[in-house]
Amino acid sequence: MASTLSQLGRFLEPALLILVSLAGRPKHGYAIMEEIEGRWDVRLGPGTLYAALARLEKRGLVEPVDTDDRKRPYRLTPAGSEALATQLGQLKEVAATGLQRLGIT
Amino acid sequence: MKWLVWLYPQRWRKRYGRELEAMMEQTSPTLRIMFDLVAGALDARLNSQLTSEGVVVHNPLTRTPAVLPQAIMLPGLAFLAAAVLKYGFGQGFLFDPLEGFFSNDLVEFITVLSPVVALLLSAAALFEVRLERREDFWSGTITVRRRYGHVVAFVISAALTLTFAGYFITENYVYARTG
Repeated sequence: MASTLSQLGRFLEPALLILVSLAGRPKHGYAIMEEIEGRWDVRLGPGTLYAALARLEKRGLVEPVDTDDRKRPYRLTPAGSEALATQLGQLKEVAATGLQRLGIT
Repeated sequence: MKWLVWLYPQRWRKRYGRELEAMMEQTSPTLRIMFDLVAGALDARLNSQLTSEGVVVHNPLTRTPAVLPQAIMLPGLAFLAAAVLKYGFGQGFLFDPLEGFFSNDLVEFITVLSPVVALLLSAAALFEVRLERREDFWSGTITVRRRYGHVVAFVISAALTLTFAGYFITENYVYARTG
């Protein structure tokens, strides 16, 4: 599943942040953007956010929640949860190796 | 700033347009965000598989009236008709009065070029090229519009262009070599 996210190229980082944001609960675009900026100080523009969301939806990793509201929320699909878990596992290993080599752990 | 949503392809707007507009109502307009939206619109147009829409190679000449290429090719058509009458049938009534006129370099250039321009204009009005980028390849379709005035201009201007090209090659290469 890691390859599913790796295919996103330059949208890998925004996509990963979006998936982590949606892992808590379904959110609409603006709420995702606000959480990402507030929590990780990363400012995703609306164009980048929707470019990444469209790619995630196309790959079946997120899905829209039925609503009549213009602010349509999105949620993770089971495939999205699995892809996110795999990607975070890899990142954890990378982080552990880096921290160990820096003598931080 | 909501007008920037109109830069996105129609199918993309149909799917995400309302959400994006709602989001932008809550976002302060900055140069960075405007640039981000322009880049996003470009991305949506280049990666059409995201909304299953092809990238249509638009050309502004599709609405050209048929009378324009038909009028543009007239000098070439008149020259050919006059030359055929004169040298094919010995009837110089059309060619002789215009001989001095046609011998001018600029007029000759315009006369020869006119069917080429007419051919390009009518082709642009007749054909629509659609390119679609899928995961790892491009696919394309060419649609031919049923516009009879342009078909007439296309066929005649193509015949004129081929005739002039054939004449040019014969004069400059075949006769030059044998002579």
